[in-house]
Parts: sequence; structure tokens; C-alpha cells
Amino acid sequence: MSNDAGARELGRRAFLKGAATGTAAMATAAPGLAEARARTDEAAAPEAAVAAPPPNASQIARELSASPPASLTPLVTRPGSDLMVEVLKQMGVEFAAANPGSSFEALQESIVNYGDKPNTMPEFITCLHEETAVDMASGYGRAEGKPMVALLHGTLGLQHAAMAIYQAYYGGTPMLIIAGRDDGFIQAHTADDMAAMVRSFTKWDAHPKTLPEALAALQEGYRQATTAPTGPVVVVLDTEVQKEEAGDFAVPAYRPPVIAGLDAAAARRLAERLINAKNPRINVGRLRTPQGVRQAVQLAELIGASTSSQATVGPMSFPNRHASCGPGAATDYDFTLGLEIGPADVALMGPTIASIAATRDKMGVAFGGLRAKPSPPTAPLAPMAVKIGETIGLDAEASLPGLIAAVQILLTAERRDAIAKRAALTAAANRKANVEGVRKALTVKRTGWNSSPVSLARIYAELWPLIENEDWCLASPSVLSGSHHRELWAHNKPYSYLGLPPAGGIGYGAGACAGAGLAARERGRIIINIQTDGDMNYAPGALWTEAHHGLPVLSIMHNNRAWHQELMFLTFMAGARGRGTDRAHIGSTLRNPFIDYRKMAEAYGVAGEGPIEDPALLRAAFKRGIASVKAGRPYLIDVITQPR
Amino acid sequence: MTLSSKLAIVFLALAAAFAGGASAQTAGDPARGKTLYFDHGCYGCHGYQGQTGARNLVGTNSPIIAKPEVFLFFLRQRGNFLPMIPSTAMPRFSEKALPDPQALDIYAYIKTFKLDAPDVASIPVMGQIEASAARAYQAGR
Repeated sequence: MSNDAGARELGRRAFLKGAATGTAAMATAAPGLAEARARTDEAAAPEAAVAAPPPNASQIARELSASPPASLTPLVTRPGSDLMVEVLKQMGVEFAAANPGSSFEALQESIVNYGDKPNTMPEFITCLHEETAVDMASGYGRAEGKPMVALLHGTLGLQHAAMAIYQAYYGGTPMLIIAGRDDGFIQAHTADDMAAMVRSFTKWDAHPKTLPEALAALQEGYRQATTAPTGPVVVVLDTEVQKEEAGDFAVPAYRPPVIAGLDAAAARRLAERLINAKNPRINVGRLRTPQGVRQAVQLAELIGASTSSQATVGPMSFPNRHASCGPGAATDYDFTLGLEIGPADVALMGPTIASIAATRDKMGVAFGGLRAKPSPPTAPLAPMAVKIGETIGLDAEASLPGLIAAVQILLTAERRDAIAKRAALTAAANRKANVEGVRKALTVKRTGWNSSPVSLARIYAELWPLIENEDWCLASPSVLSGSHHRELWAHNKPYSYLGLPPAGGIGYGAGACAGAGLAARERGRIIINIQTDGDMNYAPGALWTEAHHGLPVLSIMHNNRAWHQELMFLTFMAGARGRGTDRAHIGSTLRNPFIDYRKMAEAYGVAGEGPIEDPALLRAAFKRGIASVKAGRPYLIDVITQPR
Repeated sequence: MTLSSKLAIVFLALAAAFAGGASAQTAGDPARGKTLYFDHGCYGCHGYQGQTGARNLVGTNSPIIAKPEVFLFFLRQRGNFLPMIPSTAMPRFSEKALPDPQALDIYAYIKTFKLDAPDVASIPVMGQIEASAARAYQAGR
């Protein structure tokens, strides 16, 4: 650190000390900001320290009027926030989603103005609620396997976003959250340890005190977010660091994370087992990135293994209509490899979020799904149970390059011939099984085909021929609408289906689809959103973000006019108690009045149509919707549906 | 014996026990039943026409709706009130909450349901889905 920088840092720290302890002073009669900062002694009074001072007159004026922000360093020519943008560019961060807040106005200004191509890498994405910003990062992260940024304003933004962060943590979704911190402005918006509010459900956090530390923290945050267990990370950035003069400080080069995989010797041993197996199988769970999926395909093709996939339940798994995917010609597998899924003869399973829950959950909240669980009682294994073998606690994706290389070395011409024959048999058997499975599913899905309100199976069935030849992503959770895509659609891309809300939280879908729409817009992809009505109403402003940023999201309302699962629960509860099942709708339905989602979309600038109750009208409406989103205009079709 | 096997045996036995001539209890009013079917949330799990949802009502040959007496017995004993066939999904409908005449109205409405399941071959989009399943995988598609 240069002397100048050191002097700046000393001054800033002295300032911070004063500001941090000045909380109580601000509660006194209308002190000016500078006056409040200067008054440090009174802050020692504990009763004052816990009081939440209301904004004073000047702060309110700043918040509500055109009063310009105080500039701590008015002659800054190379602000620290420009360097932060440089770091984000280096790491390939495409988007920063935010509901604007004064604690990151310096960084926001740099994003939209700095560089040869301002507002590019990252592009500032305007959200109407912080929950949407983080849900968008979830949708993007699950689709692409890499982080985007969600910018949050201090204590308020973090708390607005908390549920969405919690959900991202459960889902192991990589994202870089930047929380602005302004200790000199409204005290209710700041905190000494800002990240503590979400520490129990984030993977890593940092509150750097200097600009060099801030740049390093952003880089380390990105590494942490993308290293197994992937997840949301938080970097708290003080306004002073964002605004300070960087001088000639050079942005350090970004070093990608080094993720441990199998070493060469272990990879060779595993490759030998795969090669020597007469009927090998690879079960594929959720990998980290699309590159991992490509490598899993390469490995399966090299050894002619049959495979299984989780692509119909979530992202980053094996293409489920790949020739190898299915039971294969025979199910007497003599060696099974698990990639992020077990049990298997050998399962490569990197650490999950559950493995760090105890260290992050300092408050001992003990979130239900992440608590250490007692071992389940041992049950006798059924005949033909899946074999349980060795689980290696290493990241599968990081192990694949070495494993593929080892297999390639071991492949002889003779082996290649045998593998080709096996692969052909496997492909034929899988195609037959796949067709039979679809045929069987269709005999079920046709029931209620002409029903009004519309059958949910029909929505999925009508959609498939229209999107099959498009590059599509089903970004909405599907379980409440019957998950009919699982049997009817091909899930051949890492992002074909992005899965459920990881913690089961409603309100995630609309934002996640908008976030997936960011990735889609850049890649000529379209987003399919089977949007439940209950979910939509938590943060419908996501529609405006879709319109504003031209996101190709086709939202098809699963409008059953209820939080229907709750209606069923309530009905059961009333029935079990022998009381009025005819009042279970109270508090669990969306009636009187019905919500008009076409008008809602229109109000937010999204074209649409409906409500549709006649299923014969679906196909034409879907065609219009697909044409719209392919042209970069989001579209909403309100469909009145059967409840389930 | 599985739970579903037990259920089938119980309700087949009940259906047999109640076998005989038409009962006076069959005189429900389907028009009233339609309203009650909605008000009491039956549509929630069975769909508005008994075709969709967690449990179809039509096309299943369920003994539970074969006879009104069995249907009434089923309504009164479901939920957590009959240990042999406990349920955490189908509510119990007490006589107080849903008197017999109203339950029979619902029964009459249910009996108006007709299976709407066209032949797969007659639905063009289903042919397209089947053809899609038969197509060979192409990387990047």
C-alpha cells in the first residue's frame, strides 16, 4: 500500500470509527450529519446504542428530494467503484440486478457509465423488489452454473431479500451478493456486521475495509460461490470504499478456483474399473456447470455405458434422451459410477451446503433441512437393491477431465469395438423404453383432455411440439402443475428444467424465470414459465423487469385461483375435526374478486391474452406467445386451469 | 397386504353388502350437488369434472362410488377416524358438516361425470409427442 493510500485508509478508518459509534448522537434533536459523526462519546450509552434513530430532516430530504449525495472525495477521478466493475468484468459477470439504493449508488454509477462499453458486463438490471433481484440471480445461476450479482441496499435490502437468499443457499445456487453499507447516512439502514443477518444461510461473507481488500473480496467471493459447495456469498462494500480515489492502483488479475478432483492414480484405477466392466452404468446427479455435463456425456460415450439422469427434476444433469440414457439392454450392471449421486459402486460426491451448515449457522438456528440428522434405522435391503459401495468426497465435475484422460489411454481398438457394439444395443433398448414410456404416459395425460377449466397435462402436451425445435428452458417449478414435462418433453440441455424452489418457498418462480430470461436473451433461448397464480402475487414486478429488459419469457398462468395446496390442507383439517369443509376456502383462495393476470401484465408492459378456459384455444395462443418471446418481447397467457 | 389392497377389500365388501335394489338414498339432486362439490372443496383433489388432480373419480371403477351407501360410509369414516385405512389426504366429512341429503346431492353430481379421454390416435399433438420420443438424440438439440 502506498503512503498516500495508507493515509487515505487511516482517515477513512478514523471516520468509520466516529460514524459507527455515532448512532446515539443522531437520535438527538436534529443534529446535522457532520455533527452526528463528530459526537462519539454519547454513543457509549447502551440504551442509546440499541435505539433505532429515525431519519433526521436532512436525511429525509436526501431520501425524498433532489438533494445531491454528499461527496466525501469530490475530486475523485478514478473511483474505487470503477475498479470493482473491472473486477466483475474480469470474472465474466454479465448482470447486476438491483432495486436501487443509496448505499451502492457509487457502484451503480460505475456500472452504468464506466468503461468503453458502459453498462455491459455487468449490465444493470432494474428490479422492483430485492427478492426479485436475488431470485433472478437464482434463475440465472441455475441455468448457467455461474454467478451474477445481486446488489442490495444495507439492512433493508438484505432483509427484503432474505428469503430468496435462503432459498439459494438450500439450492446451492452460485451468486455474488453485494450489500452496500453507508454508515454515514440513515443509521437504520446500516449495521456493523451487515452480513450477520444472513450468515446462517450464506456460504461465505466479507466486509473489506480498503479498496484492495474489496477487490480481493469480490474475487474470493466469486471463487467461493463457484466452488463446491456452490452457493450465495455476500460482500459488504462501504460507500467510502466505493467512492474513494483509486489513484494508480492496478486491478489484480483474477485467478479461477482450483477445485480438487481425483488424482491421476485414483483416476486410472477408476478408469480401469469402468473399462473392464461388461455392463457399466453411470448415474448422473446435478453437476456444477454445463462443461461438467458435456464431460459426463463424453465419458458415457467413451465407455458405452448406460446412464441415468436427474434432468427432469433439475438443472445440470445428463441429457435424458441421449442414446445412453435409460435402463440399457440389460440391468445387471456390474459396475456403477455415481456422479454427484449415490449409492453406487463408486460415487464421486463433492461437499454439499449441508456440510458447511454447522460452521455458518453461528446462531444455532438449525434450519430443518440442514440439521445433522440421526442415522435412520437400518432397514433390510430389498433383493435387487442398488449396490452401496465407496463414496469419494471429491467434486465429480473436477474429477471428470482426469477420468476421461485415463479412459482414453486405456482404450484399445479391441475395446472400442466391444464398446461400440454395447452402445448400439443400449441405444436401441433405451429408445424402445423411451417410446413405450411416453406412450404409456399419453394414455394417462389424455384424461380430461377437453375439460374446462383446462387440464394441466394438456398445457404441457400442447406446448411440446411448438417448442421442441426451439432452444428452450423450463425455468418455473413444475410440481404444482403436475410436472407433466417429465414424461412428455426431452430434457437434453443442462438448463432444460431448473427445478423446484430449493427450500419450497413460494414467490420464487416469477423472479427465477426473469433471471433465466437474462441468460436466454443473450443466447437466443426462450423461457417457458408455467406460472402459478399464488407465486406470481408475491413480487409481480418481475413482469416489469421482463418488459423493461426485453426478456424472452413466456408466462402461462396456472390460474387455479388459490394457494391450492393450502386449500387442500385446510379442507383436510376441517374434515378431520368434523367441521365445515365449506369454509376451508377462507384465507386459501384468490376469489372475490378474481385477479385478471392479462391486465396485470398489461399494466407492467407485458403483452398477453386470456383468461382462456377453452382448451381448444391454447395452441393458437401458445403460438402467438412463442412468436412474441422469440422477438424479445415477454408474453403472458392467462389460463384458467384445473386445480391440479 | 398393502393399504390399497385393504381399501379395495373393505369397499368391495361394503358394495356387496349394500347390493340389491335401488335405494331411496340415490335421489340426490346433481344441480345442487355441483354447487356443494365446489363449496366443500371436492374439486380440489378430483378436478372440476372428476378427471384430473390427485385422484380421478371417473374411469377408475372405484367401488367407493359404486353405491350411495358405500359413498356415505366412506365420507364419514375417512381421515384419521378409521385406523385400518388412515388417510392424510381425503378429508372426513362429518354428518354435521355435510348432512346425508347434501352428500347424496354430491353423489348424484359425481355420477353425471363422463370419462373424457379421447383415443391417443385421435389427438394430433399426442402423435407428435410420440414421434418426438422416437427421434434420435442430437447433441445440442
